[in-house]
Amino acid sequence: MEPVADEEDDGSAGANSRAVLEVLPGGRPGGLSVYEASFPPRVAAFLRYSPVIEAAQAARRRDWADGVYDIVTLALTAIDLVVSRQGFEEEATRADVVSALTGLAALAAPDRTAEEHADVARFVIDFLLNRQAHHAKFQYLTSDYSSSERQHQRREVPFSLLEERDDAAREENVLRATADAINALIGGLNFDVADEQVATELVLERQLQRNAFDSAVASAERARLLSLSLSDQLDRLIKQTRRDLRMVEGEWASEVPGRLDGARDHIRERLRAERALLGKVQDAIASGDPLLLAAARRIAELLTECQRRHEDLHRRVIDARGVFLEEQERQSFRPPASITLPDPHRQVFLPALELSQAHAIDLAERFVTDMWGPVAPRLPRLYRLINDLWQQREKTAPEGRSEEEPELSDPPLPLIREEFIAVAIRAVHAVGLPARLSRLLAACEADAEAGESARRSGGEVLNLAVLWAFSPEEADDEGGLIAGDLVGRILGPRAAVDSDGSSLALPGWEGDDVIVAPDSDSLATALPAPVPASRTLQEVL
Amino acid sequence: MTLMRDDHVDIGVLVAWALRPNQRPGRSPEYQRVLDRYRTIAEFRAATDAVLHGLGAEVLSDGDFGLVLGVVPESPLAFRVTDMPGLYKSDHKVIAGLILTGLAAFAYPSAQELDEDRLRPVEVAEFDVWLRDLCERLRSHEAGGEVIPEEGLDAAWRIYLVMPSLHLSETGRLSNKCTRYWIKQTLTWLTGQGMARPDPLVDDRWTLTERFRIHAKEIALERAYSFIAELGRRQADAAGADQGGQP
Repeated sequence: MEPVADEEDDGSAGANSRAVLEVLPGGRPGGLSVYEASFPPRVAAFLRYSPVIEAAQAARRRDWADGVYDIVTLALTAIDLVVSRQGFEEEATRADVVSALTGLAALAAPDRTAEEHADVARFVIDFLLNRQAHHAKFQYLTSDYSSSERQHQRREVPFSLLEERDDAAREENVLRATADAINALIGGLNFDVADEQVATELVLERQLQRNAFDSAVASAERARLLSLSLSDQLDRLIKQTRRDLRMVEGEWASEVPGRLDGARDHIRERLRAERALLGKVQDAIASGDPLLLAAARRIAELLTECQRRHEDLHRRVIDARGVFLEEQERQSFRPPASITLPDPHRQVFLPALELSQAHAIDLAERFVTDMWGPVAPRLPRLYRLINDLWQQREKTAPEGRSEEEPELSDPPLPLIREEFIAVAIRAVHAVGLPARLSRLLAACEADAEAGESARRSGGEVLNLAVLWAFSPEEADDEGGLIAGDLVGRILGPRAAVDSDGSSLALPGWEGDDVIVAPDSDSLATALPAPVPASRTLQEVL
Repeated sequence: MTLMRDDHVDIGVLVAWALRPNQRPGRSPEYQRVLDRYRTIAEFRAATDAVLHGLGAEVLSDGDFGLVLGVVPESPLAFRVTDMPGLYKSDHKVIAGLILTGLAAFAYPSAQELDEDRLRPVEVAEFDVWLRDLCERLRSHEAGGEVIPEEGLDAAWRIYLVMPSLHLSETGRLSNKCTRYWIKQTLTWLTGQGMARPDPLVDDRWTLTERFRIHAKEIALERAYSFIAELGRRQADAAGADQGGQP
């Protein structure tokens, strides 16, 4: 066989590549495995370790104890911890992982500070999440020589190891290991999970038979990751189906029914096998051999977890077809989604930066309304409104001082005395609704059961209740319940107030002599008489 | 199926839950029950949608995060920029709008990213630097100095650049005269709406939640884009008319 390439003979890249193909040994077409279609996936699988290695290199540039912290071990521990709780109710949070890694860092360097240990832990988890790129996927460029024309092509390999997700049932973020991370841990390429799991369990069974418990632990770990991978595949399908069935309609038509049937058979078989294996492990535990005991317990733990995962997966496989049918019906009348979404950066934000002030305000108003969604109108807390009105205005604090002062104390207690409210209620009962505000205030003034001060205060409470019912404003209480309750007590639960432009002619009062009605229907036809300006209160009553 | 009184009560219950953005069906069996009815009973869903339509609202998502609603600007349920506390000056409105739009662009730099439901982190200082850099790129660096626009015609980016990143009050707190104050305020407001969550481990770091993504993707960006495109069309028409009118 001749040596490689004869560059000087023809000088062209195509001729060189053909020469390489012809002359290299290996017995396969093209001579080198790099020309095979399976090569790029192998390179991509190999790259899954790169972020961890890069993290270890970056750690050397940090101001930490030299070479004490093993970043690779910490990174794999983090992924393992996330995987062990993935799919269960209490999935791992960033705080859980940081806490576990901080403990390990402290064991590695007990003489260093606790802040450094926590810093190391945060560094590892941030690297796995690709914090530097705002949690975007890692991107690597590779060379692909596997095309039939034997040309060189550039490929982009994007992947994530850990992702932070919003947990629908919890008020915190949780971490999920991606299929890439799980595959990296298994050390395999893309494979048929079902076949791989059968193989793993056969190996595990043989290892248990010959009491090779250390190897059996590794196999049980692998079995768990495979279960997780299967679950992840189904989760993705269900989520995509719920989001937009059209994206996976073809998949449902062709592959999914067969896959679900296969998954059901597989789960049934795995549950049986896991029970059998568990029985064998428990025999080992019962034998009491101290050397085997710890490993046997760990295997039993892992197999029990696998069983739980498979039972859970079984439920989801059974439900999957129902999800498809349900979504088919639900989404059939949904208007088609916009075919192309605008590019948030290029088509929205950059033009927004160049808008004039007036247009930018218009855009801000639209965007705020669209982003915020609905907000239930809130009503004022009446006692606060009254307090505010009665309060002597304090000197304004220097700008910026009070902006972020947290409210640490309880809200002030209501200051409206019951006897004032009673005056207002009695006035409404005495006059009856619908009525003009002037008549209601006059009734307060004429209340024989109250003293002079209570009569005046009762009138003010009534006036404020009417004003509030006329124009509810922003309140800071819980949905306006307190204000609503108080006004409901005085004017009735459905009171409605409107103005026909008449002025309040009572001495000491000014503003509109509004009409107060028990409900909006009666308000439409009500035209009660006001208190004539020329008559005294006593004459009126 | 004919809807009965109890069904209408359930519609009210569902809408009431939907108006509380920090509530999630996973934490409340009652919310889950009425949401399941919405998802599975066509008549119930149609009646709910009709009620919401009357309120000027529409369903953006009915998934695991609950019934997420969008509103038209005329809806009595619409939140307006003037409802934000402390937004009195027009400059502040521009800055709050830029920050909110910028958060969407920062978290989802491309349309494809809007389809991914992983959470996006935002650090106040980092976001401020990013936005400031973009504004700086728009500044012209002419040898003769910059032309100062007339009152009200200033571009949005200049309003952001003019305000410093950091300004502390006498008590050492961020004052509303700096952009980081407004970024923190916006993220705090978003937290109240269930769209952001402060990082428990790191100060001044938030993550934008799934609800933020849904609103950005399903309604806000599309409408913002339409508004900008319409403005562009009108300006092009006006320029064309000017040219056509010239002798």
